Amino acid sequence: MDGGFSCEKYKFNDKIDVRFLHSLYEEDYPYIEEVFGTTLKELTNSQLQVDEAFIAGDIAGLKKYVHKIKPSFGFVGLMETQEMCRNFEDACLAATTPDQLSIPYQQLKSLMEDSRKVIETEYKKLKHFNKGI
Amino acid sequence: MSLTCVIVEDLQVAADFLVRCCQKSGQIDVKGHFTNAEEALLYLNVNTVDIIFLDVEMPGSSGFELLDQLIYSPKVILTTSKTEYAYNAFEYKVTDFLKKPFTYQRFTEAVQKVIDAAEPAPSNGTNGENQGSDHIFIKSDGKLVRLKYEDILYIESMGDYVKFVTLDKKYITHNTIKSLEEKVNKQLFMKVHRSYIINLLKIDDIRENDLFIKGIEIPISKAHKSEVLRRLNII
Repeated sequence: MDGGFSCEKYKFNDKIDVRFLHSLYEEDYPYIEEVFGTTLKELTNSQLQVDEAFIAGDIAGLKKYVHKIKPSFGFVGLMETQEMCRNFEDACLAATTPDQLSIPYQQLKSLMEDSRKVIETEYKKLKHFNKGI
Repeated sequence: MSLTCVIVEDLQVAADFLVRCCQKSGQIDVKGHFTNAEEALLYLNVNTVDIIFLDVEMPGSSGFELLDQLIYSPKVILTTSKTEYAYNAFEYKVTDFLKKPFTYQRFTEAVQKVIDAAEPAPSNGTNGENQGSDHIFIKSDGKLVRLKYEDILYIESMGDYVKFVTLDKKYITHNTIKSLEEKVNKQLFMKVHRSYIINLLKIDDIRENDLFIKGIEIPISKAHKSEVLRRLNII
């Protein structure tokens, strides 16, 4: 995922686009920790909104909340998840009934959950790393 | 160059990153962060800024709806993760479009566009360059109202607000007599008292230390009386 980019100081999860992350924050690890912490907090509530919209069969709401959550993944370098959110927004636009979104929603939900775990683990690692600086 | 901005963004991580970029630039003073258009509008109705970093989709009104309600035109940099807004961005004369997440380098390019296109920021209540014009624009009741100089009888202070009085209407706007004194057409208007600016062409008569416009009595301060008399066409 990091396209050959390496950082000797800290090893990120392979799913994180480290090159992109460094283009945003350079090597300011305390700030990167802050970004992961803020994102983690926001995701908890946003994922809930996505789930509620799906259960209610609210396609417009589903698209709106996925749109909102999308850049959060980008800010922590999870570009694949961000791209998946974008594709899901397109699927919402094309869908005429909520049923048509069931499979893409389950795929997205699973990826978002994995991503949340990656962010959570990375946040803990960063906290530990920054304490040692 | 020092610029002021507000950030209207409901995604905290994006707003924090914008604040960081502004601080890093050393050029932009962040005056506020709002998570919805309504709160931003309350602030922007009484404060002017050079730049709005504006998200489009937020809870409540959209970023474009905020722009519809604004009564002056700061430079706008859209911060969104959608590219579909390009047409609207063009329609609203948006200076640049930052697709989230964006880099600091991309941020500085957007700010440079604002600097390149810089025009003097309008002040509260008026549009500034009025000496050669036949009208003035004032903010009143959420609108930008065009008032012809020939229709204004006088302007009266009301603390932090002023009242523009015409023959058939009164308009209240956030401004001061002191500030307006510099902005209105000085050939037509004159401060006659710390609370009044009058249209010289509208004076009906003067008695002692008062002048009358359409039956309204307006005091003339001692400090201004000789200048008032000098400006009148007395034969």
